[in-house]
Amino acid sequence: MNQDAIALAIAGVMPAAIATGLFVSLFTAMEPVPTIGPTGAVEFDYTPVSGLIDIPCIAAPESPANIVATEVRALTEITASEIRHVLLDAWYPQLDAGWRGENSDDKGAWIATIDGFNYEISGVESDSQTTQTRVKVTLATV
Amino acid sequence: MPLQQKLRTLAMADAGMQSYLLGTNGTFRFFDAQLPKGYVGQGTCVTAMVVSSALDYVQSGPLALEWVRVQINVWDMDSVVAKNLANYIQNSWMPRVDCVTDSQFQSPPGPPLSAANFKLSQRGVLDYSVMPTPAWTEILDFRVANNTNI
Repeated sequence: MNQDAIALAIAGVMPAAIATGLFVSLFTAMEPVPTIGPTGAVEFDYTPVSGLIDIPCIAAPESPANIVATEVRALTEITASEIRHVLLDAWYPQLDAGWRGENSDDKGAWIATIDGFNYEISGVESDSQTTQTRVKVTLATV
Repeated sequence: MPLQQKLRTLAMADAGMQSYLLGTNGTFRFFDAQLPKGYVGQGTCVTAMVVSSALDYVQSGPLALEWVRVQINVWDMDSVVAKNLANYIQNSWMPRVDCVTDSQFQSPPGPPLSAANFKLSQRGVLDYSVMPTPAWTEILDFRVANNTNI
């Protein structure tokens, strides 16, 4: 068996997916840029991350088979969560490395803008063959 | 001027506080109440939070003098650094912080005339909200005299 064929097949996955024309949404990663006021209060403005702007993607609902009601009613408030599973058109290690915004790192947590809506990034994963990056995003409204 | 602005202004003017909190990128890591993400990695941070304030009254009404409980948190990834800055705040900085008169806010700044600040307690904790490794936090509780007219 020609094992090179496996690598060739893997390399062809994303071009084939892109060729379907389904990557109709645009994904932009946004990082917080702080402004510190005179009292030391911090205000964050989110700005696009260079190299991660307007990436073609598929932003699918969490469950494509049906509509999932994730709206929870309580006595005093309503929380509505919209969760999407986003497939980007290529492997973006910069996103994988930077989205967390851990406190001990020199950066804050990133958000994602998809087709004009701002989402929190819940997780980022890349496949073992580094052909694609997938992002789970959440839009929660209280 | 809000008390936190007074404290931050005087901290920025203090060489000892600068040595701990002023980063090479120009950021002075003295924050109002909350520790924003991404700064403990740069170095020692301080947050000042007003817990409560009590206003003195006389028969004709309230005075401008209030007694403010201020919680000052000192954060660092190194416990010794956090304790050293906490000691510096206790022994050197807060005894020279005057929030009662405007002497230190003049140009040029004058000496502190009424630095009536009392340390009430101190405790050390680990803050696990700082990921991936927790930050050492020294929590100082002060009672600060503040003139609300300044």
